[in-house]
Amino acid sequence: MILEAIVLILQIFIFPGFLFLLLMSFFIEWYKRKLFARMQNRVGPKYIGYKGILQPIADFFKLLSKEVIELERADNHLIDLSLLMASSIFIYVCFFLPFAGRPLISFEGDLIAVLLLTSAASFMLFAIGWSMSSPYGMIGGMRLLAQVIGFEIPYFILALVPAYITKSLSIFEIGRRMSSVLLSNPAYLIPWSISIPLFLVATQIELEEAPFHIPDAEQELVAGYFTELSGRRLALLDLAKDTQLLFCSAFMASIFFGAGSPFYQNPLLGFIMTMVEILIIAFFIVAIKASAARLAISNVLDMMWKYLVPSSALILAISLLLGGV
Amino acid sequence: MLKLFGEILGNLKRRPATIDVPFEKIEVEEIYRGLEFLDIDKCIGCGACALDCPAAAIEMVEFKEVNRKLPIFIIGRCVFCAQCEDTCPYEAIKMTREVPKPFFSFEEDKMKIVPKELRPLEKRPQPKPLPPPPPAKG
Amino acid sequence: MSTFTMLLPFGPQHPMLHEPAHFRFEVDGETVVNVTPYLNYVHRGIEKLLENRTYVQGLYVAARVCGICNPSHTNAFVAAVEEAMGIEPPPRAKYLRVVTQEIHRIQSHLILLAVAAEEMGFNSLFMLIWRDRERILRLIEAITGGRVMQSYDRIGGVYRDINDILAERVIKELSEMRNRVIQYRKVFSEDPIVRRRTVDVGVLKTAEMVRLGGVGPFARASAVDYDVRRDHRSNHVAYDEVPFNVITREECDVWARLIARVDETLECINMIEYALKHMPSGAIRYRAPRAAPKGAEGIGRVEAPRGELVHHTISDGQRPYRHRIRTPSFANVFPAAKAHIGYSIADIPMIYVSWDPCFSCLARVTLVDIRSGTAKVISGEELRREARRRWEK
Repeated sequence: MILEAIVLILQIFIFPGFLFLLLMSFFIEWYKRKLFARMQNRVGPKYIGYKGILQPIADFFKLLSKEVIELERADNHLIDLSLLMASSIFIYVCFFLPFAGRPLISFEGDLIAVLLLTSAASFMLFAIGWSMSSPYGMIGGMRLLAQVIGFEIPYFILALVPAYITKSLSIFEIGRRMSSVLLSNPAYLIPWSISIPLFLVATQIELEEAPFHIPDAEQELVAGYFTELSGRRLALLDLAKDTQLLFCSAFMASIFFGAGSPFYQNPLLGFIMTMVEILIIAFFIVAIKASAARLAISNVLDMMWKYLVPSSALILAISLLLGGV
Repeated sequence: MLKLFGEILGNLKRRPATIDVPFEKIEVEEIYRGLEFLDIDKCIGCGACALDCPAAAIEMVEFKEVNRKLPIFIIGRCVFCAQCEDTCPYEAIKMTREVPKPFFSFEEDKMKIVPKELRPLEKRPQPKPLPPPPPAKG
Repeated sequence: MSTFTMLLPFGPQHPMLHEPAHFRFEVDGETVVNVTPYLNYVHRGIEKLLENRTYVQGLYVAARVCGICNPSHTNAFVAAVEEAMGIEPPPRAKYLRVVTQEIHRIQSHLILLAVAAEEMGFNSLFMLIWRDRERILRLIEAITGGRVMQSYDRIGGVYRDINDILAERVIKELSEMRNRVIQYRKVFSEDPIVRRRTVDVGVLKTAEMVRLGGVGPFARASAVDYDVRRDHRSNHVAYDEVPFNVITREECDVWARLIARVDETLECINMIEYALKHMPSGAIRYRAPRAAPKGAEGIGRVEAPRGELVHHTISDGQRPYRHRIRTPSFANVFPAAKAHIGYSIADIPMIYVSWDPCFSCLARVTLVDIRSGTAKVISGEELRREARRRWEK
């Protein structure tokens, strides 16, 4: 009993809990920056650590030591609270994902819980922009809100497609059953394979990466909703964004590809398989980021409401028909 | 749809185009205008270079050993335009390929090129003038 | 009827602006209603500096008007001074001047294309164009001795000659560059996201452009068929002997301005190859007099990458009595301010970049030109009042 409690505490704080997720976020930031640079024929982080792998940690600590410049008119409590909420939510939802074969928390219906929590976190990011009274912050926040409202619906619907295919609402169960279900009912391959690129696009919109990096439209709005953040606030925001990238890649890997659930008895093999899938998905995210210009907000709204929503509803309808409602 | 996608993926297998200065050295071209070099055997101390320098970076200083004034180049002010090289009628100034190094102080005394091997002139050098322009057509 | 308009300042410090300038956009929702430019943040008093230096020294001061287009300024200065002195450079020097003018035009247009890609958020294209521009800078260093500040033209000729080995190297590198530029042209003209951001944005029709006095590729993209290289006969540079096409486009939008510059880059490569292959032999410099006669006037008109550049000099014997510079970016401010009106905030960076502002060129001591310039301004009484107030301070 005591041993189980100690193991649980170690799992929560070290692996696959806080420390592990923190280090994984930094690792995935390094991966993103290095890959992005190499795709552009540049070098990327190089000097801090082996091939620059400690660069994000160095950036984090440097930002922690800088002065926080607060605006008088801004609602500083709301900014700090929203930042804390956003970063902690993104770390928390990673507990539901099978990083080490078996997730820390898993219950029937945790898919819906995770989706709701990530919407709340995206809304927190908007709250940061809103509570700053500078025009850059507010316009950036409003653009982010328009994007968030638009991508949430196709994101939900497409996440329900594997849930329906495997007849389960728990991320762990979906991952475990996905390969067997696909092998036994090959008809399900159609909605499964079509929803993968659509889900990737929706993920790209959520992450605000190219071609959807509108809230961070550097040239027009300085930095959108995080213009006035400095010091430890910026460090926390960077951490939140990195954890968001980690979560989104891992989420997509878990519900579409299984991500380590087949090895739920073996943490090490589960971890390796999860990492491989995460890195492949992150590769595609970065590749699209590197080869696209920025769309205007009107184009993005068009794309979301005219194309993504109807097609995701169609895919869900197809999977419902195939499975027999 | 994404036109650059193929090239982006191709870039992954190429060596990065970044030159890792200062661990790698950059080779400057032959005609690069670096620090100035004064040929003692050709300079008669006329001071034409100091008159023509746009940045007032040449000072004519009397040197007893050679019994005439010689130009001293103040690197802090020099813009490396090579006008002194063009002006000198005796071709005594040349711009070398030596890249000026960064200085860590603002004192101009440390940023001077002073001629080192001081020998008196043995014989007067020959000036080499440029060809004059042809007469103007109307 | 009064509508509520929000004031969106693009202050002197802004990631969009590469040089300090202040633009006040009055926006109604997302649409720009009025633009007020505030300039002169980079005023360095170059025209006054030129009054206190001889012509030999003034060459280098005039070059430092602009970092990107400094060969154009050197060329225009030399043209004005050579006309005042009544001399002409040797034929080989005229061809060499064509080579350096065109090769710097390539790197200036590449800067603009990379900056336009960056404004669109296309970070990768920006990095790739910058990598290819590095090759051009190496070539410029090999030809002239300086990467950014070329200082190649001298009064009466040029600085150094190009030997055959160097000419071979230039032609080989430029043919590789040509393939890269054709690739970039394909990206700019066919990528759907790029097209969505630039087609039908910032449209300024031909009549409007002529009325407001735009110059350079900015005007040529609105079908104004004027190029100083072809239309102004001058005897200081060999453009009458090197064949080239003047690129004009009909679409009058941001896309046309970018494509016009890409096409001009390809034309430059052709011109350099022709000039290197048909270069006459001979001296590269004549001995120029050290001063122009008192009262002599000279005007140098040059096609800088951004448009028509004019240097006008009046000599008082030893130094210029007055040297006046009219840069293309200055002429383009007024049509550019008009081009923003009616388009949304999201289009501001693209329109801004498409007229290729070079604010270092922009800030001169002016009094005369502004009054005649404000008579053409359409952005309302406010611009006229503000401009007059600023310049009379």
